[in-house]
Amino acid sequence: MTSTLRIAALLLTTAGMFACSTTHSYLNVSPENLSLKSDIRSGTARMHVYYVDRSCEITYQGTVELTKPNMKIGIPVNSLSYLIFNFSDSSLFSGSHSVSYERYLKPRSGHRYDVAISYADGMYAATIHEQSTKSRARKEIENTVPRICTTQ
Amino acid sequence: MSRISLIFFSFFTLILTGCGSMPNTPELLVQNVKSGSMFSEKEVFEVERPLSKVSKTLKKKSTECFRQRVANTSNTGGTGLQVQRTLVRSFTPKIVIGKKHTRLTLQSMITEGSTELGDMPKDGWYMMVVDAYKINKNKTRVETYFQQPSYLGAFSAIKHWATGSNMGCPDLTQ
Repeated sequence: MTSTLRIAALLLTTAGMFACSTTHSYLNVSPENLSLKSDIRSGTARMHVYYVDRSCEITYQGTVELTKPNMKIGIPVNSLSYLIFNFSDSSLFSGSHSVSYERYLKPRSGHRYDVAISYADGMYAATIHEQSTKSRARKEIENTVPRICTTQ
Repeated sequence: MSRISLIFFSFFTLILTGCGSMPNTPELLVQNVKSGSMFSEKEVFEVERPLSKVSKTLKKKSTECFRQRVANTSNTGGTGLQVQRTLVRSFTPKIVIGKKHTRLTLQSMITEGSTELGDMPKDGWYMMVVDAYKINKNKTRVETYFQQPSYLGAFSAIKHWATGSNMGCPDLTQ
């Protein structure tokens, strides 16, 4: 991904905190292959979804507000998606602050995915697991940047 | 960075620049911490895990969580003129893994919004040094040295990662 696009995505993420008009709800697709399990102890969390093309350019698809502990959405199969998890919090002394965590995901057909999203005690995480619907074999998806996005 | 953090940072810079001991090498940071410099922290603990596994975890998590840029905006002024200031700080982790000793360092520097003076190394001042030593094949001693008025989350994350108690990333905006 070009650094300009990455910065634009992160700016959009930050801007979304203050101006709701810059973001919109994610339009779900079928099948619902991604379970979102949230444990947010303070502040708010949301997930921004981007489509990534073959030259690693990204297109904003929408935002999922992580307001419930268990949610299910659909991410296009066999397409590369770029997910930005944004955690926002505020306190009397530190004011408002926001941190973002990026993951790439290319869902495969015949597999389900779940993301464990947490923000507690100043630590955040978004761990993705893949499970085969046939064999039930489950494994963690490593946090890596696809080759098409590292060669630029 | 909050207003309080900015004030702390200004004090930190002034005091250390005045004393000529801004940590521009890992050794100087360790020495500063051992001599009880301001805003310094030290933690020593042992984990029942081999050094190779601790090193692998530190490498994975430090790359994933520390290699980033953090922007902090603060507002100053009264009811009339308001001044908004944004500082962007970049963090650079580096790790050298050995058979008996692994060293992780974390450097930071302001890249936008201000200029840091002094003999700053390429990737910024050293803010943390983590030394992991092999005690035996299943036991490792971890020594963490930290010197910064802010970003204490980076310091506490090391113990979480080494022990496996929390594999998340620290929120460096706090």
